[in-house]
Amino acid sequence: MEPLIRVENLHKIYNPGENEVRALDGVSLTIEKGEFVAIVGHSGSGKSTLMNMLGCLDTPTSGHYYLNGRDVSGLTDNQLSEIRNQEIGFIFQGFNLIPNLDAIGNVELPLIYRGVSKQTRRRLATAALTKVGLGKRMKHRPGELSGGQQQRVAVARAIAAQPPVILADEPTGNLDSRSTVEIMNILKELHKSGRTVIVITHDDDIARQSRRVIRISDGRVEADYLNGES
Amino acid sequence: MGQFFEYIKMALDNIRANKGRSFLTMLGIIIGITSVVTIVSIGNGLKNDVVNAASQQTNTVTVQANTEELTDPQVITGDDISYLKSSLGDMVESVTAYQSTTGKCTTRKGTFDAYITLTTPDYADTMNSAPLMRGSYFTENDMVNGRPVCVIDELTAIYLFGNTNVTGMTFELAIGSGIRDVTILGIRETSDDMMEVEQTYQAMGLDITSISIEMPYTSAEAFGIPVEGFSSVTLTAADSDASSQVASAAVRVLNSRHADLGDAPFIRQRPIDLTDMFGAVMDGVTAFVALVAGISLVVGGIGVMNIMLVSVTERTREIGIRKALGAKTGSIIAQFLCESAIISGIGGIIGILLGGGLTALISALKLGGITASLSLPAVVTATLFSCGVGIIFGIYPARKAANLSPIEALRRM
Repeated sequence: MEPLIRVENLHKIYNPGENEVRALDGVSLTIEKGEFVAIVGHSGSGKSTLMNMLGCLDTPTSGHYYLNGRDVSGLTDNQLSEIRNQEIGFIFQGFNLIPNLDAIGNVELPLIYRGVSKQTRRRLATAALTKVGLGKRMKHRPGELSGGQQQRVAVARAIAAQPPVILADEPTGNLDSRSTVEIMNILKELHKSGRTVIVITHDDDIARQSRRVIRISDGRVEADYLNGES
Repeated sequence: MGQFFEYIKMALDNIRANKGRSFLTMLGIIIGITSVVTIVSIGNGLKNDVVNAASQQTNTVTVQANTEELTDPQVITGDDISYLKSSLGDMVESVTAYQSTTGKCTTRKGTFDAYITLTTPDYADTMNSAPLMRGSYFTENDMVNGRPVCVIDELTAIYLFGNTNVTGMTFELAIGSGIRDVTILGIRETSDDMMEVEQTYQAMGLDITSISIEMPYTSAEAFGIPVEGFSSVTLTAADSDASSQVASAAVRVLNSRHADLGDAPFIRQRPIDLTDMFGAVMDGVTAFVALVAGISLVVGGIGVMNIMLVSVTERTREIGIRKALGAKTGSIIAQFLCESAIISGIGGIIGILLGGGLTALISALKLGGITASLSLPAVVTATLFSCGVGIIFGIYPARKAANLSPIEALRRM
């Protein structure tokens, strides 16, 4: 069966020519549906670039990226927007909530762009917020929530549309230890319920909580192992 | 279409979140629309006033010698005037003709330049002149006999004698080389317009006296410059609806009496043409001033564009988030265009209300005697224009926003 994510010899080169930076230098990997993967690397290792590729936020210089069996490496901006909307739930380090919108408004956002009707949107967003334990904070704006709560809103936003891939970029980077535990528990929960979760992090503690670790260094896959087997 | 309402809602949310700034952005549009609506309304009012004033006189018609056919147009004689009056009978209230000349009159107060109207007794009734305050107008008899009599106005009396109690008095009048004593038969009130002119002269320190004298045209003979004829004749129709018939009847009568002058030596001078001309001039002036005011709309539009550009820069992160979550280029453009169109639209509505209010205020206060009337086309144009300004000046910022790359946009913290 075709894996959920298949990356073949992915290159991303910035400033081609004299001062070129090979952010990704021939990355190949596959991630099956339902996996819980941590992509680990130091800053400058290329893991953020890889995350942008996997999240369809950027296109590779060369190589192929098959998401759900579809080659998405050569798509236009608008096609990529659609893929992001349908296939990927993002969780960012800086939460990236829209300050003018309340929690439910933020969670509804991807559903609006998917063209989901207002009632369905409300229902899905409410369910997602309840799932992350914010059922009573739906009318709060980001500024009125703690960091951990904001990140939970972001998680709710990522899962509301039930995308096949949850892509979390340093999801606990801005959080205290208690909130970190909360968020990781939610991610583990999502994994147990069958979602594919990819966490990008520099933190080995976080990496240890996943099933599989992909270590990136200098734009290449340095190691790829299952936790408890190494 | 459902999506469209989402963009409107997003836009409204954003406008609400930045009330102060949104209002300041609207201000340019508000001022522009207010001035356009007010100016066009004032222009409209002025035009209506002129047209009304002109149409009130439509029972007065003037028939003139066709100057394109005649080298000497002063062919209408006193006999023609009497004949017209008797042959048109009940159709006309009065028939008159006049010529103007200048002269000098001398009293104990000094010698003054005078403006002299040589005419017939019907002149008073035909020309809507101010009423007599003393004495009487000269008669048919005075005219037939060419008596040196006159009617002057209040202001003239005061200049010549220092008071208005002067009926029956005489003064010395010189026209050309002829000098005669002239007897005053009546004094008429000085019209408000004339008074204003006079006050303006005095305010400017000009030593111009408005001496105006009306005399039977036949009396000019006594000064050695007989009036041979007039170039036009003015008739007052008994019924204003019949003024056209009166005019054509008069043209027919004069043409037959002067068949020797050609096929159609006389034509009607159309006061209604004058109305049209005034209307056209007013339209032109209004359009020009509205255009100038319209420039402020463009400036307002540039203001909208500026603020939207600032807004795009400020909200780069929001745009990045939206794009990451699946917003397409078109969605971002739609959101920002809605925002600028709504800002301009609301500004336009406020401007129309203010313009309407100012129009009503000007009418109520009768500022400058103008009855401004709100012009519907101006309102419709202003509305469309302000929304258009919003959309046109919103395109650039909206495109700029939509073309941001999501990673670039998200990187900015």
